[in-house]
Amino acid sequence: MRALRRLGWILEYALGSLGRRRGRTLGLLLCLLVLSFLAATVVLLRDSLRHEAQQRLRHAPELVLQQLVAGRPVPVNSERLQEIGDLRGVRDASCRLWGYMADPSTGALLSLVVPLNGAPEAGTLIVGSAYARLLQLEVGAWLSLPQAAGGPRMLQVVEVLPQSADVVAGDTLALHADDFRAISGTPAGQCSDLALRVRNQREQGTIAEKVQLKYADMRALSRAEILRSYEALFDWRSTLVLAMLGPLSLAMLVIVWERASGLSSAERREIGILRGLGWGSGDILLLKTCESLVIAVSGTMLGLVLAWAHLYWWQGGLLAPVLQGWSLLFPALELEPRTSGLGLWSLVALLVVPYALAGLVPGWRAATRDPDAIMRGAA
Amino acid sequence: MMRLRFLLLAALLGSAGFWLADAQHVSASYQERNRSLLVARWGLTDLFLAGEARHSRHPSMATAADALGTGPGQLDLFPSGALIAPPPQLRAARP
Repeated sequence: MRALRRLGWILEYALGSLGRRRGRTLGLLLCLLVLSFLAATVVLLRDSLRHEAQQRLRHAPELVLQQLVAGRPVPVNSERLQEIGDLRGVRDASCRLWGYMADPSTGALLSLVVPLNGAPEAGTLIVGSAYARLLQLEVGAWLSLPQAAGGPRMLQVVEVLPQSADVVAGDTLALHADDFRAISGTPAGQCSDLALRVRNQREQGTIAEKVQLKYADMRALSRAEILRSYEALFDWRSTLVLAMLGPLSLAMLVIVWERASGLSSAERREIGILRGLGWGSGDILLLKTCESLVIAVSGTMLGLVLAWAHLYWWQGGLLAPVLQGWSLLFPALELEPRTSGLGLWSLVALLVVPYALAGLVPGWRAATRDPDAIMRGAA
Repeated sequence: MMRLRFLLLAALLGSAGFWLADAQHVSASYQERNRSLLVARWGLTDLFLAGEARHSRHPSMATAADALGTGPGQLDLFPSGALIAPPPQLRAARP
């Protein structure tokens, strides 16, 4: 109990001491706040997107088959669809129709897709909310899209997808197959690629091999590979994470270095006076640790709370331009707060522990010198 | 004065607690939505993270040549291409 009370008094003294150096304290607090805000935003974004990819893409087609000519995907003849569908172990094969189109009015790059199930009727379309926001489209509006053979094709909006679907289909227009063929120029009897469902999941690899034996110009992508693509994208070593966390680590190194390199003359004098008044070197070290911890913990925690609010309440408004690049369309990051906790706790440890330890070195040096010499400014 | 300072500390700890509580609350509300339905019904393969280029819009469908697809000897023109890594299956040797 006495030890706790002593700790309380030292903490109280540490707060007072930080209050006397208000400018320096606030500056350091702000630095740590900004660092932890930026780093936590990246960690939370990574965790949420990773979760989003795992949850949504586990429903992606089991096997996608593309035909490549000169290294580029080309439309697949639907005769192949029939033959591949007849392979033993294939439950069904579907013709996927999808592609891209530059929106004539805005120049935005759109994804066009014909849903495998639940495609809209001919002459109508379903619009992703990022594009609907850009053009302020509502249900019932008419959209004129250029046809491959020339002339416009008028389509009526029958549904605008909710913002929560942005992360998979924000830029997507879902059309009827006839409208898609007229706009994209994909002739009848051709598919953009093929989606297969297999009877036994363990036979996926065998079926992919059978297809490649039959058609050497086709490549197969399994659902597991699609999921692995996103695992790699949100891996700790990925550019997306390293590009943002790298500079922050260097900034943290500078702050820790500054902290470890010495105390100001006012701080040294203060330590000298405290030693003169009878404080032991253990008390001084505890005081310095308390000072460091108050700054590091409060700056880091405030940064974490701000990062949380920024990403989940303000939908990552500051990050959008980074992912947006040259494109006009970008997803509203309406993400599910889902973090393993490990990333965030390691972040707290990486910011708080080095900072607290760095404060001990000069504190120890000053606490073990002769108080008289320190007060006279000799040490 | 002392109470005021400890109040400040308590506020910080409280805000941390709030943050954890918010996580639970928002997660529960999201679980009510059936967010994967669209991917299954439409047969989609990718997340929409960056829409400017083929290889960043549909990274899992990308071929090795996509990033350089503007022409022979051309570099990847798109900023998102620097952030979005090619899928591992493109880097692995194929039989």
